[in-house]
This record gives sequence, C-alpha cells and structure tokens, in this order.
Amino acid sequence: MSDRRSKNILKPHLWLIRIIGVIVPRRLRADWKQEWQAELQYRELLLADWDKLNWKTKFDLVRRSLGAFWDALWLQPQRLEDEMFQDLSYGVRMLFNRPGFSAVVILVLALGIGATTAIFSVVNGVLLRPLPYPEPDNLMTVFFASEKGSRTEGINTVTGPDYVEWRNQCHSCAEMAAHTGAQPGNLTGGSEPDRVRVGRATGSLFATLGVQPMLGRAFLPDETGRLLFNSNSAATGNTAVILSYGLWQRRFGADPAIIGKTVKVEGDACAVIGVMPEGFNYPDEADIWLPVALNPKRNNAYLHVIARLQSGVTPAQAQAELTTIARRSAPEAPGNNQEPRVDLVPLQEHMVGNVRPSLLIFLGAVSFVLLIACANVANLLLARAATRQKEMAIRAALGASRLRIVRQLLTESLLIGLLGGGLGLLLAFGILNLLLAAAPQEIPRLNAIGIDRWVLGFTLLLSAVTGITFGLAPALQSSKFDLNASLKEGGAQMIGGTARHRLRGMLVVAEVSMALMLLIGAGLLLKSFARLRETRLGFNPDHVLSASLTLPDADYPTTAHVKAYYRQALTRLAQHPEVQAASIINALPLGKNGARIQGDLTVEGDAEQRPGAFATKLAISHDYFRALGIPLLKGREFNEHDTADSAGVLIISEALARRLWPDGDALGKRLNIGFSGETWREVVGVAGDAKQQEVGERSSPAVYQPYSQVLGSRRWMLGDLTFAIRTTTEPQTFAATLRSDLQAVDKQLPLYDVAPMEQVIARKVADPRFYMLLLSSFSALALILAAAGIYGVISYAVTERTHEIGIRVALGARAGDVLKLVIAQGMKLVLAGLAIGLAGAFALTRVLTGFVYQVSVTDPITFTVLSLLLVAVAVLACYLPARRAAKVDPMVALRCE
Amino acid sequence: MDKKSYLSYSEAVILQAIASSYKYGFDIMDISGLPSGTVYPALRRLEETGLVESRWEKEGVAQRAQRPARKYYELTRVGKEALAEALKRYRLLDRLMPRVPRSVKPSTERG
Repeated sequence: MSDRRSKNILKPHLWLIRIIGVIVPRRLRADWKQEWQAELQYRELLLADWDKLNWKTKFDLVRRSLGAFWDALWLQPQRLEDEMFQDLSYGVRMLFNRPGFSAVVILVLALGIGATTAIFSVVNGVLLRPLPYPEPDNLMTVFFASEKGSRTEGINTVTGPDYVEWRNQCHSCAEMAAHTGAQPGNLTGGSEPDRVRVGRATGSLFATLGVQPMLGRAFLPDETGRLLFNSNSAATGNTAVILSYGLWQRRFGADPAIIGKTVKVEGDACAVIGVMPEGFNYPDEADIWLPVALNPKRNNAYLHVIARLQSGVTPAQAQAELTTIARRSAPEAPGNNQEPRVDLVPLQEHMVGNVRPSLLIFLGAVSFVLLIACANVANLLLARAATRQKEMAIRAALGASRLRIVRQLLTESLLIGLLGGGLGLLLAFGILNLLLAAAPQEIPRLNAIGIDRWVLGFTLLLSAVTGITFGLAPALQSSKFDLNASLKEGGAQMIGGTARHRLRGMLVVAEVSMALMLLIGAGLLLKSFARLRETRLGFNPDHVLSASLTLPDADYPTTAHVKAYYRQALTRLAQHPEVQAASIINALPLGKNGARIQGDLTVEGDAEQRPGAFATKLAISHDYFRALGIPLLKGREFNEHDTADSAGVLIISEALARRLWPDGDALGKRLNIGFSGETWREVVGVAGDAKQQEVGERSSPAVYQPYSQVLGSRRWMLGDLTFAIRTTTEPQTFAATLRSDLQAVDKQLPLYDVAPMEQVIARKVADPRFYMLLLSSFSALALILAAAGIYGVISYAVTERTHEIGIRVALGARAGDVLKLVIAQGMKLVLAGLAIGLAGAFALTRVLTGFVYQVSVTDPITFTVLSLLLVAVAVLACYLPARRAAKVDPMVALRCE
Repeated sequence: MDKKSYLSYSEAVILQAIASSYKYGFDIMDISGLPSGTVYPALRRLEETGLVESRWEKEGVAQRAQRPARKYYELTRVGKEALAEALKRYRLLDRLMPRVPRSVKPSTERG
C-alpha cells in the first residue's frame, strides 16, 4: 500500500484530481474523486500492460484530468441544496420581513455603488480602455523633449524636415505619420455651407493607426495639400479629401457612390477619395481629412508626429535611434544651442494625460462616498444584530457553530450588497448621462465612455466586496455571545454592548472624518471657482455678441481680398442703430478660434533681446476697444487714417508697457513685432489689460495692430477672424441680423460659434465649474450619509439607555440635563472624527493644487467654515434623538424593563 | 418526456457510445473523440435527467488490479427512447462507432 502511495507522488494527474476535488460540493466529493481516480488509474495500468506508458500518453492523462475541472464546475449548482442555499433563502426571507430596513440599506448602498460605478466607467473609458486601433501599445507620439520650465515646454510639434528625416531613417518604426490638430473649416457645395473639423495628415496616418478607409483609399504620396501659413497663395490647393463615417452619413446620406464626387473644402474643389469606418475620428474628432503639405522650412513646427513601433522594439530603443537621427541634422537648425533629444510617449497617454489627475481624484473622492455608505450600512446591521441576538442564540443552542452563524450573516449582507449593486447600476446609467451632459467637451475620448463588461465586472466585484466589508464586522460581533445570558429574558441588551458600541462609534468617527475631507475638497474648489468668476477680465462682456468666420484661400487668395471683405462687412454692421460698436479681431479674448500668436518683440535701440518682450500679437479693427469695453489708458485708438499706406502704428497693453518701459512713457516708442518683413511701428496708445487665453492667467501682455496694416505676406493672420459687436439690445437677438448682413456680402461663408461674450467666458471656465459641481455633489451626499449615520447611532443609544435615563429623571435630572447628556455622547464621536478629518484634509488637499485658483489648498477659512458646518449638522442629528430622550417619562421607562 | 427534444449532438453521441457498450467515461472519450471537459458534464446532465444511470463495478475486480472501483453508465428506458429519437435526427450516428469495444471487455467486469 505504501509502495502505491509513493508512486502516486509522481503522478500529476492524480494530484490534479485531488486539487480540483476541493471545489466539488462536499456531498458528492468522495464519489467524484473515486470515479476520476479509478478511470485514470485503470487507463494507466492498461497503458503499462500494452507497454505504451511513455511521456506522450502520460501527458494525455494530465490533459484528461484537466477536464475534471469543467466537470467540477458543472457540479457547482448542486450546492444549491447545500447549506449555502439555505442561508440564501433564509436571507431573502429576512429581507422581506423588514422591508423598510432593507429598502434603506439597499438604497444607501446603491447610492454609493452607483456613483462609484459612474465615475469608474469614465475612468475605464478614458484611461483604461485601449485605443480602438490594432496593437495600440506600439503607437507612440514623437516630439522633441524640452526642459521643464523652458519656453518650449509643452510644445510638442515638429517641423516638416524633422518629420521627413525621422520617417526616412528610423528603422525602429514600422510606420510614421504627421498630422495637424483638427481645425474648423468650411465645407461647401451641394446643400448649405457646413462647418466641419478638418484634420490634415500625411497619407501614412491611416496605415500607422492600422485603420483603412471603408470605401475608397488613403492619400497617395503625391497628393499634398495647401501649405498652411503660406505667403504664396498661388500654390496648389487641395485636390483630395477623405470623409469620416459620421459626416458621410449626415451630409451625404451614406451615398455609396460618393467616391469620385467633388466637394468644396475651404474653397478648394476636392475629390472624395475615401470614407473612414465608423468611430474613426483621429485626431480631435475630425470630420474630414486633407493631405498635409510639409513645409520645407525648419522654423515652422506645426506637425504632430505619431509612429507605430516595429513589434519587439521598445520605446527606449526607438527614442535612442530618433535622438541620434535628430542630432545628425542638428547643426543645420539655427538658433538651436541645445543638443536635441527626442521623446516618445504612448499615444494613449498623450491623448489623456491632461485629464488623468482629475479623474483619479474623482475616483478617490467617490470611493470615500462608498466607504461612508458602507460604514452606514454596517452601523444599521450592527443595530439590527442586537435585536436579532436572541435568534442567533437559539440557532446556536440548536447546534449551529459560530462559523455557521457568521456564514449566515455574511450571506445576508452579500445579498444586500448584490441588490444594492443592481440598483446602483441602474443609478449609474442615470448619473453617467448627467455627467456626460455636464462634462466639458474638451475631455478626450468621451465617446469611449459607457457601461461595458469591464464596468459590469467592476460593479459586481464592488458589490461583493462591499457586502463583505460592511457585513463582516457585524457578523463577527453578533456571533460572539454568552449563550446562557442571551437566552435569558431581557439579557440580550446587556451582552456584547460595549464592544458593539465601540465599533459603532468608530464607524461614525470614520464617516465624519471622510465626509469632512470631501467637504473641504469641495469647499476649496467652490471658493476657487468663485475667485475665478470674480476675476477682473479687463473687458466688459455684457451686451457683446461674438461670431467667427473663415475666409477660404481659394476665394480670398490675398490679404487685400480679405481686408476688402472685412471693410464691407464692418461698414454694413455699423449702420444698424442697435450696434454701438462693430469690430473684428484675429483671436478673441478667451475664445477658441483664430490664429493666436504669441512671440518675441524687439524694442528700437536695444542691442539684444529684452527679457519680457513677449506678447500676444493681435490684429483688430479700430472700434475693437469700444466694442469690448477695454479702456484706453493713454494715447489714441486706431482710426480710418491708419491704412496700409500710412505709418505703422501699434497699441500695447498696460502689462507690456510696464514691462518694457517700467518708468518711462511708452507713447512714441517704436517696436518691431517680430515677423519677417516687419519694420518699426510706433506705439500710439496704451490699453488696459484683457485676459487673453485663460481667466486665471497672471499677466496678459498684448500688442495690437490695425488689421488694415497687416502685411500682404501674412494673410494667414486674417484668415480666421471673430466679430465682436456691442449692441444696445440683447446680443443674442442681433445674431439673425449679423447672419443676414454677412450673407449679403458672401453667401458661401458659414458663420460659426455665434455666442454672447458671457457664454464664451462660461465655456472657458467649464472645466473648473464641472469639477466643482462634481465634488460638491459627492460631498453633499457624504454629508447626508454621515448625518444619517450619527442620527442612527445616537437614536439607537437613546433607546438602549431609556432605562438609565428614566432613573436619572426620577432622581431629578431636568430635560436640559438629559439633552446635554445625549448630545455630548454624540459630539464626542463627531469631534474625534473632525480631528482625524482635518488632519486627513491637510494631507490630501495637496492633490488639488493644480485645480485651485488664488486659493491655498490649506485655506484656513475653508477648513474652519466647513468644520463648523459639519458640527452644526451633527448637532442637529444628535438633537432629534436627544429631544426624544428628554421627554422620557421615568415611570414608563422604569416599567419597560 | 420532453427532455428528448433538448438532446444536443454531443449528448446523442454519448448515448450512442453507451448503447454500443462503451460504458466508462474514458472509453466514451476515446470512441467519441470528445474531450473530458465535455463528456463528464454531459454524463452528469444525462444522469440528472434520467437518461442514464451509473453503477460501480464489483469491488473484487478492482481490488485484484489494486485500483479503486470504476463507475460505468447504462441507458435507462427513457434514455433508450431518447437515443432512438435522436437517431432519427442524426442519421449517421449509429454508423459512427463499432458495436463491440476493442480494448475493454466490460462484460467480464460487471457484477
């Protein structure tokens, strides 16, 4: 026998059966094991008899024994007849026995799980779900590394020659492509003119991402588009265009014969050569793609480069190779005093890098809400466990082991967890819809957000884990008792009381501290948002209408054409009585359209570049300052005498004037605005500072030139312009007039982003507003749950202490004393929670540093105010049960024993 | 017995194997070519629905060979009916396997 056993050690198939046997329901296990072992051993003996027991047949035995796993799995439902099923059916009955209690518990959990699921599905869609391209891990963005804090920090565009060199010489990359960010453009021909998002890319974009057109083909190498920022407008225009699935459906009615038809994009007649499959919108939700023209000059970095690495090549290897290539050609690049270094970042990380911190913060915040919900449910279960103690004692007396009772209670809480999770999932759908409706459109990959199997799995896991989390402590607590004492009449309330009280107290402390941390986080964002809204913008957005327009190269080839159009348009607009001032600008303050140019300036007489001679360069019509309500501090505004033929003039902002001439007068000084072909222009005025890019920006140096004086070689500066019109009536009501006026000048041009200036600003602060709203709702939920928790605990304590309070009253305690007694009991817990919460908030609000504006993350006022708010809510939560205690009639209380 | 109508192809094959005297799990696998992860759950299902029943071989046989007793399966009356029904649908089924097993002689081992 022992000989046989020692042989068995070398038989992995028998071991497998033994291991798998563990999951077979106990009732069936012995028979199950014997059947498998007998078959395997019989087969083995047979093979030995035939002299065929070699490694191949042995492997076959192992393979067969693995099948036992599926067999064992199939037997799992047999467990239904096990104790577990009894527990479950008992649990269901318990839930129905106390429907009110069950409903509250499930609802509280559903709130926590629902909010967590909703946030997780956003995190899942944006951060976790891989990009919808084959082998997404090999996709990289490629750009020049820049030192932190340097001018080029955050700039990740590359010049045409760089891209060509990389693409031709890099062996680590299977494919490489360059593209520009998608920009709005006009699509005309056929029905109404349409405003679409135009992506410009090399033909290799599609191959690099691994997505081929659904209809037609990608760009050929010789199909190059119109050069962006080109001074020579006579260059060839675009000839080929690829449509996105969405646009093809929407505008062309999914015409299957679309290939070869002609549409007009930015005035160029282009043949449709392809349609991309559904869901492909790279980059930036593009509607159409034009071939990008590669500018052979090395001073114009406007390309984003993406690469697909050869499989097996690490990003580090590719980075080293590309750096070598870049250094080889570095000397040619003028003004490059640093050794260039190329950086590779996974495409997904590049796309979502900006939102990662905020999403993780929200995931953290929402898990606090979930923990509070769990603590609350645990508290309720503890309270109920006390009332069920007798039941447990009877079960124990009838022979149930402690393990059996814990299991029974855990099954019940798991059931509650799963029901809460189910309801939470339904809530999550609703919350997610709200979230997506309110979310700023700038969040990348919004369309990837949804409830998929990962989210479902997450919710299931979450429900199970929460079920165990809140169930374990009460289960362990209530299974521990003295049988004799519990069975005696009236004994139940005395036993295990202290330990249970301590546990419940600790749960309340935890709830209060977490709620306070959330409240303070929300408070900081709220205050920061208020500061942002109070910020002096430097202009008056009230009664200003803005609208943008793009003049296509094909129809308006030269700067003169462009200027003529604006002159006509402005003249027409100025004739309406409700228009106080009509103006244009190339880049509206806080707007998103147009060419926003920032760069160096040269001051006349300076031998070298003066530090701080850096500004936003704007072109405006002469009524601009009046239209936006920007005060002119010194000098004069532009007027109709400032023409292309007159002397060059400039107006500079106050910030720039102070920087360049700290103690002198700027008027009469001369500047070169730093474009090629520019000459000295005289500063004729100083205007107030207006926020240019961000509401929160510190300083807004700007230099204005009259649009009439923009040089002929810089048509690109005027191609996209925004109208800013100050009206006496509600600005929105003027939109129709504006549209018809502009249609009268050129009916081919679509007007877009027509919005009152107030709305432009609201859009600019949409992000902080969204963050603030989200965190505020979480913390409100947390506060309500925590208050409910405090109320529950104190109210329960009052019930338990009725007898004691009765004695006190009988001995002469007054209502006020009882009130004080009860509230003090609650406030002890609240203050402990407050202390922990404050410490936690000091440590945790640091993560909000990047999200607050002009508020310290340890702002003492916020900390104090919200602590007081929490105390006030807690006092109220204690007061209600305390008042009940104060009304205790000593006779009744003493008799109730 | 409406259970018959739910008979899947692999279940029919297993019934046919048992009817052809391949009565042990591993023999059914060999003759049907189905993997163990399919055969055993199917046998459990068939036993539960009453189409087959299982018995243990005689202890004496097993003890002589120094191994545990094996379990074999037989068709019940309902199982035979179900197989006959299934044969109408899967016509080639009864030609699939030889009537008499080659390697095992369960008749000598049965009690």
